[in-house]
Amino acid sequence: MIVLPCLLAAAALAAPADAPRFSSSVDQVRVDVAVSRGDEPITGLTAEDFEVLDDGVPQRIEIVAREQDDVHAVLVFDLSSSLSAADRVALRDAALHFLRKLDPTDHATLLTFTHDLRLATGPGSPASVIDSLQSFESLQDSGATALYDAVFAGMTLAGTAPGRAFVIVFTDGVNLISALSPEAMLEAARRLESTVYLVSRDEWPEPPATIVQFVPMGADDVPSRRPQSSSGWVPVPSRQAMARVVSDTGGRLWTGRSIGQLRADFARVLAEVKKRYLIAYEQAAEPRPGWHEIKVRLKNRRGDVLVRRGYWVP
Amino acid sequence: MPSHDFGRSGALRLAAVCLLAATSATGQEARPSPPPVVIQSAVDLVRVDLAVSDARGHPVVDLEAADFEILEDGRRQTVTHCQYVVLAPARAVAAGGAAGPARPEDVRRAIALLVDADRAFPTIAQALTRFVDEQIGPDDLAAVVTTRDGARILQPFTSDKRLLRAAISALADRPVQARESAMEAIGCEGLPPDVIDDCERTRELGMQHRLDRRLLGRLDGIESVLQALQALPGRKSLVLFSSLLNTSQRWGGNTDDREDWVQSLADLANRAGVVVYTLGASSLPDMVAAKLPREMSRWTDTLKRLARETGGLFVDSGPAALVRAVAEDQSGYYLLGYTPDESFLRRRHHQIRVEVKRRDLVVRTRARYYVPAERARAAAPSVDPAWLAATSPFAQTGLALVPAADFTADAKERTVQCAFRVAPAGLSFVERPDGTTGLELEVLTVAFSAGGIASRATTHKPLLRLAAEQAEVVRRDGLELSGTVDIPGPGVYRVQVVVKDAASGRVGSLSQVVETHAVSHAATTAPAAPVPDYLVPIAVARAGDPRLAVAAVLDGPAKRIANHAESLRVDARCPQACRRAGILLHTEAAFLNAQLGRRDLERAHFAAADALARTTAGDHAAVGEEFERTWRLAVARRHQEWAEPDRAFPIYNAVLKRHPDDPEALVARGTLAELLTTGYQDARVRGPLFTADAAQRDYERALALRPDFAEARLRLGRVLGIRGRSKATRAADARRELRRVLDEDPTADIRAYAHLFLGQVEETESRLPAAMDEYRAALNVDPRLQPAQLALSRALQKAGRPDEAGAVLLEGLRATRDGVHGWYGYHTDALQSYEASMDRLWKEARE
Repeated sequence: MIVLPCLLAAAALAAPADAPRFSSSVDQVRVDVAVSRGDEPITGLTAEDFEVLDDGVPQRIEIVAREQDDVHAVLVFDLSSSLSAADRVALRDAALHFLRKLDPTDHATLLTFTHDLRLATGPGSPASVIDSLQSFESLQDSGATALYDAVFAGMTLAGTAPGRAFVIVFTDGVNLISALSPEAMLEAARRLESTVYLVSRDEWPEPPATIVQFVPMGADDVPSRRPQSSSGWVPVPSRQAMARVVSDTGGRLWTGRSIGQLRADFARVLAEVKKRYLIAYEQAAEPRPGWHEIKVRLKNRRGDVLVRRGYWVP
Repeated sequence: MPSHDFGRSGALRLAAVCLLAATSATGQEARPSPPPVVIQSAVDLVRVDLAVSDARGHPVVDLEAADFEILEDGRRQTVTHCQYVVLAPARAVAAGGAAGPARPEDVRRAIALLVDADRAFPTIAQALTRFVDEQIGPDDLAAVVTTRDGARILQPFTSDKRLLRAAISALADRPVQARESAMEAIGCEGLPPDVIDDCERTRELGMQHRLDRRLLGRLDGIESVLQALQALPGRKSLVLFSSLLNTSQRWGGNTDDREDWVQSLADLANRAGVVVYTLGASSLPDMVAAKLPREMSRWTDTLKRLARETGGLFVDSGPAALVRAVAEDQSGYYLLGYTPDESFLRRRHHQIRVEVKRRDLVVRTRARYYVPAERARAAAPSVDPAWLAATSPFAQTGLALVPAADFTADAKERTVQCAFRVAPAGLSFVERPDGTTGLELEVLTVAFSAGGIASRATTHKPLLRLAAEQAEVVRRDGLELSGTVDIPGPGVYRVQVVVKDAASGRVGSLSQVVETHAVSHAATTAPAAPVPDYLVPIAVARAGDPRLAVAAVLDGPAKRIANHAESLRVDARCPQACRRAGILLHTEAAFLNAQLGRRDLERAHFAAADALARTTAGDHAAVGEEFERTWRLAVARRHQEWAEPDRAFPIYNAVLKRHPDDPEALVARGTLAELLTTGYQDARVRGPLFTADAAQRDYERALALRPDFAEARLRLGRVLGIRGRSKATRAADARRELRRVLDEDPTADIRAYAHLFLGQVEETESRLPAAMDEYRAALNVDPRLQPAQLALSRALQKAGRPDEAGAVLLEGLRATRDGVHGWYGYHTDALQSYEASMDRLWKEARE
């Protein structure tokens, strides 16, 4: 979602993403919408096909952009120690395949993470990120998983280059330790405009209630019973927080994916992103600060609508 | 003439980007390379490059247009143009260094020599040296690349034979072979039955690891080199010396994907106009290959296909035969031309088949020809022109640079002295309000070494303020610049100096080759301290690959070391230092085994270390009370770093049992409770000692024992801010402790964290401006502190400034690409680490 001050809607909408913005008393809300039936995006829709409710109030909309708009793709890759060398090759190849399908005028960024974040390259042209992937092997490759920090950073960086912002997160585990809380990540998801797609190798089952039980010092210095895992703890899956981020931003979550499926998953993300509709409507003259819920439905057509759950007015 | 010293360069790794960057530079100004296809304006001519040889493999050079037939996607075309382009050396081949082609249009051939094989280096090196000596002329460019252990450019494109020879020599001398040999030499025979399985598993792991690395290296290397060649002018070729590539790991036996990959490489080569020459892997002895005959056969097929699809050659009779074949094949090639119809541009690529009417001749041409995509060309990455100039084999003439004297190397100081003049034409003189004349230049220096990619580079942006009379001289005579470039040691270097006029962006470059010899050994090297033999495997371990270290522990000499360490336990004559070394050796070995998942060996080593520490009858003094305490805390910290709280906890407790008033142990145990209750957001840990209260109690007790213990107070402040006893006083309590930490002038890392935590306290009270001030203060102290980068970015978002939030985070991440101080570090090794403790203990053991 973008709230865009505009003078003349048509003029502003036709301008490229990094064109000057004009000030006006009227602000515009832009909503990124994906429409599909099964795995197939539905194309060719017009404004008349959509019904948009802003806090329950119907809006008069127009479609300002559709297929082939420029995008800024932020790739956020988990390189924690559980990824083998062969997995890294597959991940790199999936990324290369994805980047080569971007248009030269698109932008891309590559962020990797373990328990720390590293900006590998970007924002820049897809070609520059392809170049950086040549040294993928030398990137950090061990450690724990700071998933919340990484998703936060991906969403934040998505706004630093022109183009419709979306974040593709690959992780092979759940969050272990992040500087930011899941609430902070969720709050950023609401405040920012990017769409998050998350592909996880883990299934993220429900957690056990108790992980490790220790007794006070003195009882032979050992746990009263063996911990439930060899390493002494099992993290609670981050599924709930991540599912929320994805649904709040209008993206998708895939879990239990094999490394071999990554290439197809990434291609699917791109196909969907490139075929999303950008719907615009005028915002109320003095919008209420805080969260505004958006609902988008199809009129007289069948299809699944994927849209962020709302937007934030400062 | 006014002169300016641009100083001594700092270190800058060029890494593998340099080859690519070099070619990108040339791409900006290079004439279009004739092969494989040229589309002139409205597609009035398609040109096809090919080679023709007789039955004995020798080139045939006297064919004419009427001798050929061309089929484009199966449709016969009329050959309108036929030319045999002679590439044989036109000028005498210089024996030593050559200036090289000054301009892209002067380049005759660009040849990448890519080596990836574990053995037979002397054979390859000999063949390559001969090739360079006999074939590389002043109009040729050649590069030496290896993909072993990751893609490494040993010498970017140059015509200088000294540099090429030195790179080839470095290739042959690389010490990796010795390390790999050590891995191969692991002998499991004769080991006790209970460890023989472990030994065999280690061998397998080692082999797998080695194959993984080779696989990654090759993929990167081949693709990188093809991309690099794409923008170079002249007849382009890749000569690939490669032993086994175990493709089954990459694709898990998926034949389709394997074929896709080979096709993508061939496509990349054909788009780039590169002919690929390959050597049969069977002619390079390979330890792994011998054990994987099926993979060997597949890889050979791949190499054959790469050559066939790109119009190159596959040779299976050794490196010397390959370079002979390349030399002969590179003596010339045919260019055929035909006029396509309008449908040509409608397809992205075409299959063009060429047949020759004479009998018994073999035609080699590309399997596919690509229509150049204008859009793709427009997408070339933007790279700083100064950097491009620094890595380009061609001189840049936007500014004229003239050497004031030959560059000279000082082996003792490890520098190269550079002095040169920048001619006034092209310089942008800016009249400044203070009456001076401003001149802003960017100076970039790079020393390309033979054994790697580059040794040193640096950039300065001095704004020169010239008085009136100085400005007059500079406008007339130019400006003299001098400075030094660091080099790592003796060797042959190509030193490239680039000057960029900041105002106009004009760039000039100057390149010289310098050679420096080793100075007297006595003058530079202190006598080596004797290294006890039991330190050898640890040195190996700390050098890199843990699997190799374990291999070393299991290997012959290390086995003796292990026995030696074991004997220390019972040897009454063993001095304290021996016992200490034994403890540390077993500890390092235990953790290395843990990394490999060899839990049995890990336990055995820990038991041995523990037994040594306890000695006999609990006589801890035999090892040293303090030594043992520090060692136990170090071991517990490593468990904590590895997210093994159940193993760290009993050790902290054991230390505290014997030293109940030990502030360091109290804080160490407190950090574990703090980590488990406030660090792992998604872990649930129960137990009376794993609460924030427990951490707080430990910190408070440590402070009662040692009030100036800054780390204890810092952590207490944080814990109070999050889980203080009273919600009403939580922020005030935390702020009080953290302010006191700052008042006591702590170390920089503690100061940075104190500001970060103060910011968090302010944020919990919704005082965003104050919070942001604290986060900025933290970053001022430690710009690498990633939690502060994230916190500041988030606070800016909350303040309704998302653009600033993005910019701050982007800047922070860009500035810390080479290392960060992360949040996990606060909980584990930032303030107290296993490594630091073990370093200290090893030092004590050696003393």
